[in-house]
Order: sequence, then C-alpha cells, then structure tokens
Amino acid sequence: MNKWHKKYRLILQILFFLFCLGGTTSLIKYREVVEIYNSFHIFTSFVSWMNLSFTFPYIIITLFVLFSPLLLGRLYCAFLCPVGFLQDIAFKFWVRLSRRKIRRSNKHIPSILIFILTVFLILNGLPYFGYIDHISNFSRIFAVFKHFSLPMLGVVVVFLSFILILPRIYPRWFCLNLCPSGAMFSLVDEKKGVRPAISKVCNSCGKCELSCPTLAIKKGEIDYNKCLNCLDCIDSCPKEAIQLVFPFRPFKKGAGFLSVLSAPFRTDRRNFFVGMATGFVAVLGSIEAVTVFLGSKVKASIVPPGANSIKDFWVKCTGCHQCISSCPTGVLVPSVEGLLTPKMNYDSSYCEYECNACLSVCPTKAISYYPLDVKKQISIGKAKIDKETCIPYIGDKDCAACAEHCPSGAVDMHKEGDIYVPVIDEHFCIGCGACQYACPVDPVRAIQVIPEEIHSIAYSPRKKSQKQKNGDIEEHEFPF
Amino acid sequence: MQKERREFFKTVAKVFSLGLLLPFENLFAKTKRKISLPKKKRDWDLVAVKGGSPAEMFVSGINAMGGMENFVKKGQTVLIKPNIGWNRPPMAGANTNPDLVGKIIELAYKSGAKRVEVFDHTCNEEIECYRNSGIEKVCRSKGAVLLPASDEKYYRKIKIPGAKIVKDALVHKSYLEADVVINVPILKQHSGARMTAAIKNYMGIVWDRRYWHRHGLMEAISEFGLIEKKPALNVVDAYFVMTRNGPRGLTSNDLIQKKMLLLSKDIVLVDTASAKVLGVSPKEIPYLKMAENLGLGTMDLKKSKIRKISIRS
Repeated sequence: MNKWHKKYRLILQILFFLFCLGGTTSLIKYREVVEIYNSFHIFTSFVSWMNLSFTFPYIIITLFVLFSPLLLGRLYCAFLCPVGFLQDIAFKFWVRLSRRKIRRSNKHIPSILIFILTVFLILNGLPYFGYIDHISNFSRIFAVFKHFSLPMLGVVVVFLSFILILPRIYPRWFCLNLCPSGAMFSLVDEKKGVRPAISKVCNSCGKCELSCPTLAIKKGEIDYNKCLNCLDCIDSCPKEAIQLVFPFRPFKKGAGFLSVLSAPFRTDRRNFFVGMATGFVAVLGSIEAVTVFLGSKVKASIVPPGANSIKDFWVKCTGCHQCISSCPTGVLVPSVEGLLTPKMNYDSSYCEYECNACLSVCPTKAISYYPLDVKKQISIGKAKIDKETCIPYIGDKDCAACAEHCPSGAVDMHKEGDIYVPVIDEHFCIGCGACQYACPVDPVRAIQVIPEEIHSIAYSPRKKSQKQKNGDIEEHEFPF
Repeated sequence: MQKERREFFKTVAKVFSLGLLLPFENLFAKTKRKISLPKKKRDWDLVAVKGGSPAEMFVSGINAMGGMENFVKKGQTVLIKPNIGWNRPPMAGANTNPDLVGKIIELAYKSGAKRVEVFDHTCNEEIECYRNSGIEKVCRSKGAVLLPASDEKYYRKIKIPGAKIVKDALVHKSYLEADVVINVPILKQHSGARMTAAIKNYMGIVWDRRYWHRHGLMEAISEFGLIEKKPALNVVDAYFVMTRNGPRGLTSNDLIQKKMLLLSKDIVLVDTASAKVLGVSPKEIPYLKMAENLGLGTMDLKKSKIRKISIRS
C-alpha cells in the first residue's frame, strides 16, 4: 500500500506551517498575502464578523474552510493547522520514545460548550478568548522573540506544554477540548460526509489505532467525534480494510450533533454535565471579577491607530501579537494589565509615521486597516509638556528635541528671550510618541502622550506647509 | 666716408648689445603674467557653485578646490558622512542628495581610495532611513560600504580637548579610523538649532545625542567641533533647501530649489555662507559665533577668498 495519504498530508502540513511562519512573523510583506493567511483562521475571522467586519474577497476562503466539514470532515485540522502539525510530531516522538502503550481517554468537552464560552467572552468584551485560540497562541511563540516579556513567556510555555507534552497521554487534547475553531468545525460536521470506515476484512491487528493522531480508533471502532478525517488509518492498514465512504450513506457507528443532545441522559453523563456547568460558571465569575479590577488600569494604555478606542480594541483583540512581530520600531509591547493585549510604549520607542504595518496584519481587525495617508491623520493621543521639567522652560538652554522629531507639525517653537520654547498645537498632534521618545529628560520625560479615549482625526500637516512666496523662482543669486 | 659709417654702425652695435644686458625682460614681465594662465590653482577658502545638478556641481567645485587628489590619496580609507537622519525620500530635502554622495564616492575611488565608507547615526529606524533616502542603492552601485550605526558596540569613547560640556563622547569607529573624512550635510532650517549644515552634521557620529540636548544644545554643537580629528572637506548640499518646518519637513512646499553647492575646508565659514543661503542672518545662529570663538574657523566672508561658479548662465 503506497502511503500517499500520509506523505501528502505531511507535505501539506509542512508547507502550511511555513506559510504560517511567514505570516505570523511578518516575513511576508505584502498585505494581500497576509489577508489570505488570516482568512484561513476561523476563530479570529469569527471574532471580526461578530464586530461586523468582513474582508472581501478573502471571506470566501474562510467560508470554505469553515463549511468544508459538512462534506470533508475537519479538513483544516488534519491537513493544514500548524498547531495540529506540532502535536502530531510530538505524538510520533512520544510513541517512539515510550515502550508502554499510550493510554487513551475518551472524554472530551462538548464542542457546543466551548463555543458558548467563547461567544460569552466576546460579547462581554473580555479578552480571554485569545488565550484559547490556536493561531493566536502560535503567533505568540514568535512574538516573544521579538519582544521578550516574562508573563508572555509564561503563557507560551504553558501553551507549548499542552502542544508538545500533553500528546504523551492525550494527543490533540487541545483540538478536542479547547480550540474554539475546532469547536466550530465540530458543530458544522454532521458526520455524513466523506470519512473512513472499517470493513469486515479487518483482522484486528491494531496497526490503525496507533497511526490515528487523535487515537479515535479503539477495538475496531472509529469514534467519529474525534476523527479528523486525516486518512492516516487508511494508509496504515495492511489489509486495506479501512476505506473512504462517501456522502450521505448511513452509518451504524457514529453520532451526529443532534443525536448527542436527543439521547436520554444516563446518570453519570448528567453528573458530568452538572460538574462542567458549575465549573463553567465559577470560571466566568472569577474572570469578571479580575476584569473589573484591571479595567481601570487598562484605560491608561495607548492603542494603535485603527483600534478606534481601548474599549473597541479589547472586544476584538485575541492577543496574537502579530502586530508586535510586524512593528518596525518595536513600540508595541504586551500589556500585563491588558492581559497581554498590546499597547504603545513611548519610553522605549515611537510609532513610525511612514508605517502602517500593524494595521495590515491584524487577523480580527481589532486594528482596522487604513491606507497610510489616512493613518497619518489618526490621533491616538495628545502630547502634553510638563513645564516644571522641560529644559527650555526651566533654564536658559535650547533643546527642541521634541519639535525636531515631530512628524506632523504639532510642536511649535516660540521665542522667549534668546531661546525657543516648545508649545504644542493639539490639532496637529497624532500621539505617535516621537517627542516623548526623543525627550532627553530622565527618568520621566518632560513631554508625555495622554491617550485619546476615542481616536480622532488630526489636522493635515498641509495646513502648516502652504506654498512659499519665493517658491517658484527659477534662479537664485549667491547671497554673499 | 665709408670708414665713418662703419664706425657709426659699430658704435650702434655696441650700444645695442650693451642694451641687451639690461633687464628689459622685467619691463615686459608684468604683461606676460597678465596674459598667461596660472600654472597652480589658487587656494580658495570657499567655493560656491550654482545652476547644475548636485553631482555636476560637485565635479566643478572639487576641481576649483584643486581636484579630488588634493584630498584623497592612493590607498586611503575615506569616510563620507552624509545626513541620512530621517525616513524620507530624496525629493523631501531631509537627507543629503544620493546622487551627490554617489559622485563623491566615484571620485574618491578614482583618486585611488582603497575603501570608501558611509554611515550616519539616524534619528528614525536605520534600515528605513538607509533605504528610503536612496543612499543604500547608490552605495551598492558605486561600491561604497554602508556601515551600521545603531548599536553602541560600533562606538568608542574619546575625549574632546578643551570642551566643558561635551568632555568626552562615544564616537563611531569608522570616523576615528578613516584616513580622510568628507563631511556632506544638507542645508536645512532646524527647529532647535536654527540651522543644520556642516557643524551640526557632527551630531550623526556620536552615540548619545540626548546628552547634547540635555546639557545645552548650542554649547555642545560648537564644542564638539574641538574634536582632534576633523573632516578634510565640507560639502554642503543646498540644491533643495528646507527653509521652514525643518529638520524633517512637512511637505515639499517647505523647500526652495536653490540649486547650490558650497565647498570649504573651513567648517565655520561654510556654515556662515550656508546661513545666508538659508536666508537667515549668521548672528541669529548661536553656535556659529561660539564655534568661531573656539577657534574652529572664521565667519568673515568679506576677508575670505570666494570662488563663485555658475554652471548654466
């Protein structure tokens, strides 16, 4: 039996993994390609849809990936997903390493509960849904190299242990119990499409059991709740007993979504459900408490242009940190009080005027895309000068580092005696932080950017740069 | 009768031959000097060129200064220090014109330079500045080495003799190790320093600029000129002059196309001339007078030998 399914699946996984690497680390510079990359990811696209942000024409890709389980099972999970790829590799590694047979657990959290949890979090503007999204966790791994922070490292280490260590006892646990994209795929999957089935030719050798990445096969039966349609089992059977079965042929084994709910509850199943529900409510309650506590601290954060406001930002940001990876100046950093959503840090860097990288990579459109000339007029904060510490104001010395770096013409220099003092014209200030970054006063800069609660539009610098009187003269004489 | 004529002619011949001994040549010498072209070029204090492209004006200007061979000898390492401070395209007049830099690189190699280096400690992100200014492209095509400057490891601490504010500074190794330095700033109005030209261009070779802003910008700019190693030549790009909203500029309306180029070995003199081109009185720029007082050069344009060249009349 030529193992062409396994080989092609592996090749596709590797190729898509490399594509994801490029998209998530911003090695890919073309915005359109990054949009295509983002459209493959169901949950982040879903978050943007909940906020009525639809990306045409790439939404077609998202819809295809989302509804393909109707006919083809969890195709994305089996053939593309980079997180799945990592788990599959880890599982193969553990199988080789462990002489004992891998234990198997059949219980997993019903997809509908995962789905309800995430919708609840999104609707309430709680950014925790980002912690369970698979692709956001994947992006975070690389962002931690770009900007190191200890809490971030903690989150990445926890995630990697789920992905690389947990497969030892329960492969693809993340995919079946936590991943919101996976939950959505399972809800769509009616289990009536193309899938493998074991025929009577089977001689119970058990080779298919260990080849299955989710251990869905047990004692000659396939658990279709766990089956991802990767088709590795078909290749592994020496008798070719497992074959692809085509749509709408009834099965004896396998349960569809409806039958789970309609089946009468047995006592142990009911207890399981009650236990889950209680834990669920407890988790949500504590989340709310923590959020209220942190909410006030987060209001002082400055968020990138395109986010519109800190509130809107929190409702959409999954903390994937693709913006942090793409930022050329490194001004975007994970905010601890914002639960690892990004914020601007003007003491270590500034927002480059000629750049709209973060607007181009956000998968949930928490940072909406605007062309560069529009972005240049979005005001995310206003600069304020502390006259008690600003050098020209307190002494007789010239400085003007702020005016020098301001790209939008917001800092005017007014003559006071022999020196010039800076005065801010707020109409032109876009809150980019170039002034704060350049200010030589330490430890607290004499010019600070205060966040705009709701982003506004600044005056165009053209207002300060009209045509000059002798601008059209062709020839000039030497003035000496 | 014939004997007397012979005697007369002999006397005339004697007088004539005696006359030949007289220094008649001296009587005609002055006229000779007037009509003959000088074999050696005059040593100009300032050469001002106008009317051509930046590269054309440099060729003309450096010729008047005695040719590039006057500054670059065979086998030397040359540092060309332009202004690449800002992430702006060439037509924005915020950075030195890349064609000018390219021509200087070309002529340096022609004069026998072994290695030509270019760098600037930029204000915006180095990669963006180097690329969008057009300098990276021209360095690659002309074979100059574009050096990184955005890490402290490229700098070495040196003392500035006689300075009170900038007693020592971390200066880029390329500046300290090059055999010849050619300072190539662009002339602009400056919100803090009033004007940026040759002296202000020194700011791009140090690691910590904020120190200068913190402890007295004008004093620091002038004092740093006391650095032992000085540029052999200053070339001020005044093709597009940013006359307001400098040093970054808001739109192209901030520029006046002056089509000029100023060359001088005297950094204070060339800045004084630059101030006039900018349309500002040199007295209004505090660091100029301070620099003159420190002995870095002269502001006296009237007493200087200025060569004015107009390329297209």
